[in-house]
Amino acid sequence: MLFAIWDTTRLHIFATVSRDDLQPVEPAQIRILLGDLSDDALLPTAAEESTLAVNVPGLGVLNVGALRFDPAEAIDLLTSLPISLPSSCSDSVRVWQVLARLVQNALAHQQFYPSLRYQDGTYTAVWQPLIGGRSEVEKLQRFALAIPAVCRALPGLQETPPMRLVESFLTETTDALIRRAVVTDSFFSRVHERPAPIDVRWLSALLGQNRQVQADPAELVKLYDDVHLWLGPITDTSEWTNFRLGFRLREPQDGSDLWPVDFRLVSEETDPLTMVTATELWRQKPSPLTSLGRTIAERQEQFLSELRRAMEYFPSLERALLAERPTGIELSAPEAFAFMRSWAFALEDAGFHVDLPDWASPQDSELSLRLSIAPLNAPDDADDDGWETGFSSNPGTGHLLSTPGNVGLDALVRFDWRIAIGDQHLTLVEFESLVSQQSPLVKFKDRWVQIDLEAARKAQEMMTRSSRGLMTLGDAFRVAYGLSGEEGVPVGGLTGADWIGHLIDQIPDARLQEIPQPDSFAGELRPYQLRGLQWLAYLDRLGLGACLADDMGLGKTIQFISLLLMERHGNVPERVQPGPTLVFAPASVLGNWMRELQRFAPSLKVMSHHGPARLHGHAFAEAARAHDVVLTGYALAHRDIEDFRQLVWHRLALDEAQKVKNPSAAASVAIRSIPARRRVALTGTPIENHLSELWSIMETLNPGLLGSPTQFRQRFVIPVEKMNDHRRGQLLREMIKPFVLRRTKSDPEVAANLPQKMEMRVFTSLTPEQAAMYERITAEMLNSVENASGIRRRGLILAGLTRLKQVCDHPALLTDNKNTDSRSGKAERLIDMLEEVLEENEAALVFTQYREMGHLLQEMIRRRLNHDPLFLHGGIQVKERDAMINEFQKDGSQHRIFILSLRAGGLGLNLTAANHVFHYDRWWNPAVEAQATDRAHRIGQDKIVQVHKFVSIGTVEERIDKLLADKTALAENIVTSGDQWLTNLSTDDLKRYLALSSEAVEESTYES
Amino acid sequence: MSDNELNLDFIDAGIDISVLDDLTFAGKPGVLERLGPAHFRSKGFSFMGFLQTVYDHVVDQMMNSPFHHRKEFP
Repeated sequence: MLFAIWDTTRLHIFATVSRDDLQPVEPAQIRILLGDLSDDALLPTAAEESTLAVNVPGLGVLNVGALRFDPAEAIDLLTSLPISLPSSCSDSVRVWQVLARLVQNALAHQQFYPSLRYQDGTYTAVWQPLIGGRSEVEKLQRFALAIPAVCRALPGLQETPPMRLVESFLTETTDALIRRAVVTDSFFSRVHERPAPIDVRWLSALLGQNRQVQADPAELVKLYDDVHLWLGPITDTSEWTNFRLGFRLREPQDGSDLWPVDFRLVSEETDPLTMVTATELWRQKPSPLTSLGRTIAERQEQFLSELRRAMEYFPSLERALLAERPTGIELSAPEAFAFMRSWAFALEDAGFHVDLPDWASPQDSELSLRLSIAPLNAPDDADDDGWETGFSSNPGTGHLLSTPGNVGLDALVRFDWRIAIGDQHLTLVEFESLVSQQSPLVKFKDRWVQIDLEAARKAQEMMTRSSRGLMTLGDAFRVAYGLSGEEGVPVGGLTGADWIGHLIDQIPDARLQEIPQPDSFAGELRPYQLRGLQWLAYLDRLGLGACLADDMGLGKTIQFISLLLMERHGNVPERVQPGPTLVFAPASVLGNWMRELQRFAPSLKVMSHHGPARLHGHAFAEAARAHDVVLTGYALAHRDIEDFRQLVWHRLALDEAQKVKNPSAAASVAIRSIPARRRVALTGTPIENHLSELWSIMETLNPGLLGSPTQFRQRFVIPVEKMNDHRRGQLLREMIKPFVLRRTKSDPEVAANLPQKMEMRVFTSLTPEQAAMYERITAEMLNSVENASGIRRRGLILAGLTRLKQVCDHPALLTDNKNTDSRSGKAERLIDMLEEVLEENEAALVFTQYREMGHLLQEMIRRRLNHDPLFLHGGIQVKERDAMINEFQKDGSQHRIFILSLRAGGLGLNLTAANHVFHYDRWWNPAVEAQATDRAHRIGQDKIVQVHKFVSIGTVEERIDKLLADKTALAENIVTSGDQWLTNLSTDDLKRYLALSSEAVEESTYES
Repeated sequence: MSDNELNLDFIDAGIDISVLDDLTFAGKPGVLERLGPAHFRSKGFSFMGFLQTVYDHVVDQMMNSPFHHRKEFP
């Protein structure tokens, strides 16, 4: 049997007769045995012989003949042996073989580094392998402990820790292999010159046969420090910098009143977290001789240094630092309360790790007052909790006819204050008992709770004054969420009975839940869209304003359209047929609204109020009354306010409602002054993230709900936006939940009903400038082709067509004026939609045929969205292209918009990070567009892909899009010949396809 | 070092002898890439450039080592 021993500088192989008979065999026999196993039979043949004194338990010291290998030869031999060693090799051979392969792999993957050692007054240059971080080093330590005792059976090795033996093998072999690899080339001679700078002399010592670095002692000390400073990122990372100082607060134990906080080191790079307690850290004994020893000493020193840093955020730590080797601290109840309430957050913000007991989350353990409200006619609920009587707070008990019609926020409701800890209600006796203990942390029914004593006192006072009575629904919301009432009272939200419970839980009552899709709706609502319709109808019925805030692409417009149809074509008596709905929308989407209404609700009478010929005064009022829907732009809200105020509208609707984000803007003020019985807002932006927008939209929908701007700012804006108070943010979300319905594509109820790829047209209007240019180009083109023929005629048509497409994209493509804002309906719409994409933390591809258009979009996105998009076009080199793709695809990329020219980016790329694909202009070949779309919609895509195809209304783009959709023979021709088919048309036919229709252009002012 | 953890068997290794079997370096960024430029660079000598050449050479040697991609013993 073969055995291997590493003596810290060389490898020795010896053999015994068998596993059971440990009589040694002659070196000649070892050469034969090894020669049979090795792929390089010359190695053992050439090896030198040695004699070892092996201490065998039970047999004593045996002198055995062996073969001796230098470090590099040892690697050669061990890696030339089969990976699955035969039974004639003992585990000692396997040990060094495993490490040899580790070294070889480390070197092959550039995992080695030059270092400088200091020992016994000498500085030596040495190459070392980089095995990895903490977990790899831990594995190596476990490996070292597992090596058989024979590996340490030589005199002097028995006292050597196995890890040091392993480390010496790794370092010596790595160093030897690298020196051998470079010796044949002229590396050494290039740096071995004198006089040379100290770092070059270090290199020289790394490459030649003499490891010692010769220099002035002061220079060597500086070099040593410089080298280790430089190596810090790799040597420290594996040992220390992944760790953070952590604090764990525990509950008092064994009758103690004190709360222990343990100190420890936490690495968050592993899952589960790796932790080392301070006790374990102090137990490690640093040795001055080894690198591991230095690391332990540094770690302990850094631990103390971090503790001192933490003292700034955790004042009680001062006590702990009195100990030489601190491992923790005990806190009084007030200190523990302060730790949970504020110190812990300050420590986390400063980069420390904090663990609190599970119950320490305030919403689970904090005492709060909850307002319970119920309709006036709700039945009383017998109450035995000490609060006299109350009423049922179970929304499930609401009955079908209990939902009143059009109650609004002014409806009177009964209220009743309740004290709660988390979700658990307290009786008066329990409450008073807790407060009487005068401690911020007390046990209640076997769980710890937190009591802010000052807030509890105020709560007690308020309860004494007014524990129940009547108030309006609007007041109930404001009081329950702290927008009116007393300062410092710990209000914690609202619970409701009967229909109010339905409202809070966003569950329409039973009758409204049965509303089917209206018969006159020309399409099919998805289940979540039907639920959206039911919810809109429910809030409508209650007289409350609703904000439908579904993700972009989920069909907010059609849910709203179906509401209009439902109220007109259900079993509604003629005498109560609703009046007109006034819809405000950005100019860039008015055309889209018209198209959607025509497509899904052809029975609705729609009036478009825009342009210089729009009606005013009595004529406007008369015309509006004769229609179901009046569409207009935000730009006219202020300008035509007198016209709008002539009617009491059945409903006022705001599309892209985030456009009224400035509550003081003239348009916002004007819209709020328009009389309407019902109000609805549509927005794809998560409005709870933009609090001024939220207030402005809510003030339009439900005036007064969120209090005055000052109250709202004090209660929510400052805590949430300036102080990052998550709890206050959560409270606000709870407050607005009854009025805001938001579903995202990832919601299970939505995702289950969506295809993996959703294609939709985005109809955009031309600005007056675009329309004028379009008409001029068309006229010039028709005029020039009139008298031309053959190739020249074709050329003129194709050139004209390109210019028409470009003017639909952006007038700046054809003029010297390179200003980009508010000149293109398409571009404005794209910017709005990309803003929503970024808001949702999603990613998009934008395809265009024109490189210059890509540059314009790149500039607009940078300036208006403060985002740096990538742009791939034909002029980009392959290397740069690959870098762009890698950048876009990597997790957490800062580039979430990728503009691509269709020719450069339409094929072969994998861009699955994107889940939106915008076709800014059209290729008119569905196959080409589909190939481009497939950059995102392909294997590896785990999200629903939304494809947005932009079409300019009333232009050649829309006519050809319609032809393609109809799948006629002509459509086939378009697909196969591209633009060429147009060149064969007569001038009259050409005019029919190209002429601009009157609906193409919208109001001239675009909102910013 | 604890005697409880140390393998005392003379011939056979402990079970943790396999613990390094799944250790891999593939995909890790090269050491020079992680270290970045050395701040003690000498004038007129490209320290990092030279070192990178050494690294490339060593990697090349290792990859061409006859036993680098050894398969199982037949």
